[in-house]
Amino acid sequence: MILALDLAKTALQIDSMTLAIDGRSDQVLERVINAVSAMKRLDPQVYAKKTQDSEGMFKWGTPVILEEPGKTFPPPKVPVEHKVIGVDGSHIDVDRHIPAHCYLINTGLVSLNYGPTPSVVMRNDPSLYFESEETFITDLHGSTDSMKITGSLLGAVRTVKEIDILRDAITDGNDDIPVVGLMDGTLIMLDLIRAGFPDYVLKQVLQGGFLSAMSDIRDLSKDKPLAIGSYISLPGTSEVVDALRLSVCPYTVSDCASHCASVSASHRPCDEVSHEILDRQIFEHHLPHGHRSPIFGSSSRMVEKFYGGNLVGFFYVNVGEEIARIEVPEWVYTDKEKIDLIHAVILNQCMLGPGYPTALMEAHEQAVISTSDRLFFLNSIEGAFESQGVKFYTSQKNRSKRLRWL
Amino acid sequence: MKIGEIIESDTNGFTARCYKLYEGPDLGCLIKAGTDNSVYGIVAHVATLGLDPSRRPITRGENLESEDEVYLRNPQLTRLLTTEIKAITVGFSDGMEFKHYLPASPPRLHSFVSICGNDEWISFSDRLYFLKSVISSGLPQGDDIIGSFVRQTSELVSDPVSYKLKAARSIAKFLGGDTNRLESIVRRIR
Amino acid sequence: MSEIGPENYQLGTVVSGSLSEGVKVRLSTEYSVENVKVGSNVVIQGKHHRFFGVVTDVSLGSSDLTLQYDLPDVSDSFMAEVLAGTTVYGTITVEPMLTIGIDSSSDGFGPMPAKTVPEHFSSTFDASDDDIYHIFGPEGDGHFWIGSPLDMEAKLCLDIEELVKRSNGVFGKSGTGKTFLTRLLLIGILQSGKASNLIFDMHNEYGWQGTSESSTAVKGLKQLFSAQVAVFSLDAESSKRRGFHPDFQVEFGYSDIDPEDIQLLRETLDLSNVAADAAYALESRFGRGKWFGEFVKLRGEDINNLATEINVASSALSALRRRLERLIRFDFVSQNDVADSADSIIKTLRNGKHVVLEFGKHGNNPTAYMLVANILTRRIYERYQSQKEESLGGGAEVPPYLVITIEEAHRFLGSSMASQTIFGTIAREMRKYNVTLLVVDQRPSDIDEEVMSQIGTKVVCLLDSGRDIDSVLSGVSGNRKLRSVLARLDSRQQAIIFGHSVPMPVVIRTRDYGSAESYSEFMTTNERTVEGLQNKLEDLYGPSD
Repeated sequence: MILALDLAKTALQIDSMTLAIDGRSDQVLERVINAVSAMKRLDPQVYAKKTQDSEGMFKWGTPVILEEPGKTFPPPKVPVEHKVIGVDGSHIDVDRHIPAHCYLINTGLVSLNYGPTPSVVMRNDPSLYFESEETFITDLHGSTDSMKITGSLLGAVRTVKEIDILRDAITDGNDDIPVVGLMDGTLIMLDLIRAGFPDYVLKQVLQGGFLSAMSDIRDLSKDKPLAIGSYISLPGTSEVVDALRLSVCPYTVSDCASHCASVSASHRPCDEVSHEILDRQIFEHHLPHGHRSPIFGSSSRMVEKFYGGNLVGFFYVNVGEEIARIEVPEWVYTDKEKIDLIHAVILNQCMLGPGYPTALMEAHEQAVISTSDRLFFLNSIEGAFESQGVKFYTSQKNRSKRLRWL
Repeated sequence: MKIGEIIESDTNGFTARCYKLYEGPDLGCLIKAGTDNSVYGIVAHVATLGLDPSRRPITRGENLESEDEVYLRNPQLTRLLTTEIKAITVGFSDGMEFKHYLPASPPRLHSFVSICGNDEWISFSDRLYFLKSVISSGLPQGDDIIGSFVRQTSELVSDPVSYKLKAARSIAKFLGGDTNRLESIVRRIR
Repeated sequence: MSEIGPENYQLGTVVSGSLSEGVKVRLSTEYSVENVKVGSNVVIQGKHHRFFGVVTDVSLGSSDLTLQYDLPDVSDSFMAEVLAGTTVYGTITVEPMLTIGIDSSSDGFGPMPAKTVPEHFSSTFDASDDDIYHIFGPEGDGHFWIGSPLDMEAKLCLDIEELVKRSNGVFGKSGTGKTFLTRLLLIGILQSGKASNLIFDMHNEYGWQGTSESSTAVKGLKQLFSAQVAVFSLDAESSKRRGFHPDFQVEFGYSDIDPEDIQLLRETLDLSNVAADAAYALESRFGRGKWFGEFVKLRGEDINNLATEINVASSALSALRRRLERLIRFDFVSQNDVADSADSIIKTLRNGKHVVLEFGKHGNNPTAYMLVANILTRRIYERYQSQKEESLGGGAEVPPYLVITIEEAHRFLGSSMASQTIFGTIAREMRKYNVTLLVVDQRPSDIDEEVMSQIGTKVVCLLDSGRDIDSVLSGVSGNRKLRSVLARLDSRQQAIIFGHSVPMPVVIRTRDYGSAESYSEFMTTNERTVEGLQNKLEDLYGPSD
């Protein structure tokens, strides 16, 4: 009788996987090396023209190259006195096995003040949402459509809450010293787009929520040493790789369908510098410790469509233990001082971490909801209902998850 | 003045978390929990640890000059680390006088813990029977606890040397002829 | 009843013990075992009684038995101080002697012999001066200050009235101070007026001047109490040489020597029984008082003829004749009629005076000593006997008590002799006729047991012979514990007194005798006027001082 994950079987499968990966590593390395030299050779102007020309035909994304591609940027000195604010969040989704329709979001905020008089603020704020206007996104104009806030929509709502408290913390701080705000994960709310949410949802959550807060922060940052960004660990993106594909494509116009439709993957000309490799692999090979890559503009359509004023750029940085991807709004990447600030601070944070920005790690610890917390939450709801005289029913599934038979 | 709060409590003793990191009472210190009908304990163990037991501290100072620098550079440590003390209960006050045996029930969780004031300390320690429970606790640091307690108490009285002698003699009687143990404790009283 | 005040320092507490083995007191932490002496007096405050006792043993104990194998580090004095009185401690054994009821200070009964032991944890204290006075009586009126208990200044007194009712003994090996003690006792008796003293002064110690151990001169009884003391001397020349005139020169005539005297001298003269008995036959033949004079006139053949005549072996008679020659040679033995020395002595004694009989050069001659002592004592005893019987019949006054002091008493009172000599008789029948002995001796084991048992009070200085110690302690309750006390007396100026004139055995440091201060203390009360004082001082601080 299988009671839990059969770890023995899983272990074997993991072993097979690693063997397979290992076998391919030499090929990968070759492509990485090719990719690096391709990057060094890349002419931004040529690339820009080719991007335009191949519009609609090039199968992959084309990030904007904003700085000299082969260059690496050494770490600037981190200011002695500065503040880092990290935010993170977690949630308990709507549980269909309980009669109450509600969800819980817990945000964690850590503000670390460095300098001659260091200090720290650590908080978490759990909030329970149950009112209908809180648990649904309703179309305010026109139809009476509404979307239940759950799943990936809830994830997005949570992200909005995170940036809200970041903005509030920056506002309350009202500091003159350099301040860097950090979020965990991407600034690009892909979940919203991919899931095909209706416009009114995007409008309210993305524009009215996330980007509105972002703009508030932008306003606060005028003429101040204030920058924000997000930190992505173990990034799985291949946007720069995609740029290299375009760059090394032998065809003047990269019409992938015409030229390479019948060519199998890994045999196409661009595959030399890109097949099955990720951006981070390139920069692992190329970036010295502490250095950052040039800044690129996001190739996301969503960003183009919605993020005006807060366009998202990114760069990679070698924090020592890994290559991390840092996403920043345009009002950060267009300001050298702000970029240097965020670059230096992130490195310092990873050194103190170590290996991961301390502020984000602690914010995560503040935000996390443990299994026992989850159980407590459910039990509290049960208790509250029963004290009101409401019979509390659950489906068998939920029950069995909670009581473990011997 | 309170220095911490009780986070665990049972018949034989209690654990308190200190409000400020590294600002806890010394080993052997006489502390009390609660302000009315206080319970008195002797600090038997002091530890600094992470608030979250699943997170273990890591080294942070390899490239730094001093420990102080580590704390300067990582302000979150003061919030993530805590000083905890464990005390052996040695008596209580019934409102009128000191009793040198265990109270009927241990102090409540979140009782405020403070170090006894000089007069209170001297008065409580007039008779030293309560040291017996420290002696028989079987703790490996038992002798150090007693030694530290006697040293600290002797500094509160006008004649430290004669107090130490008097205390050592009381302890000799409790030990009932175990001279080896007595020597170990006396070494720590000097 | 003395209060327990801060000066009464608590020695310790009672932890165990028994009446037969002694009470064990564990010393207080602060009290060093080295400060307690065997023989000192302590008081134990029991629940219902106050116990008065003497320390008979001191021992060390430890609650950690491994201590002796595994020594702690005591190079640090702190550790030693911690251990003292806690893990290691001193214990003293106390022999409870007397009890005094606690609640009644006006007891009415005074101290009683202890018949029980104090309860566990009773507090123990050094005895106080008040305790001593309460038990032994304050100085004055029949209580004579003889010395102080160990490590105390209090005056410990003997009950002289009790003392003179029985025979007493002063014992100790030579050089331990017997003579000093005897002088003190004599002065005590003299001052109390309860008895007269007749002292057979073998070595010229008591009369005019004596010597101390360090060979300095000390005053004799005559020097201190000239009006009350008469010195009779067998050897006037010796007396004069020592700077004074004796009050009387003692001589004996042949008529004074009786066959009983010969009996006494049998061993000394080395006579067989037959030879000694022959004296009786001679008395029959020649008559009482005359036989000696007649017998010594005879020589050679006359003796043999006489032997046949009185039916005595001639060899025996010859032997007797030869031995008697020794007696004749004494210059105090005179052919002629002489004044009745015995009579003079008795008269002097009857006048309330005290007699010291100096032997001069004859002191070293046992024969002379024994002859003179026996002759005089026999006569004195007979007079006293008849006088006492007369008084009982209402015809005469009761004769005053008489104390006869004899030194080297074992010669008179050895087992073989005791039954024969007058001293043996006096010792056995003492009370009846108000005549007692004061026996001074360094070999008490040679004294007849029965005699020893008659001795009322013993003052014992250091003895080192087991047999001597046994004989002195025989019949004394708790004698086993007193042994250890006795064996540890100082060789000088310390003695243990037990018997009828003290309520309990007690170790004393003998009162000082020999300094000007000590002499002035002996003055009798009525002399303590300024005039009397001045006169006395002139006497005292004469050339000999």
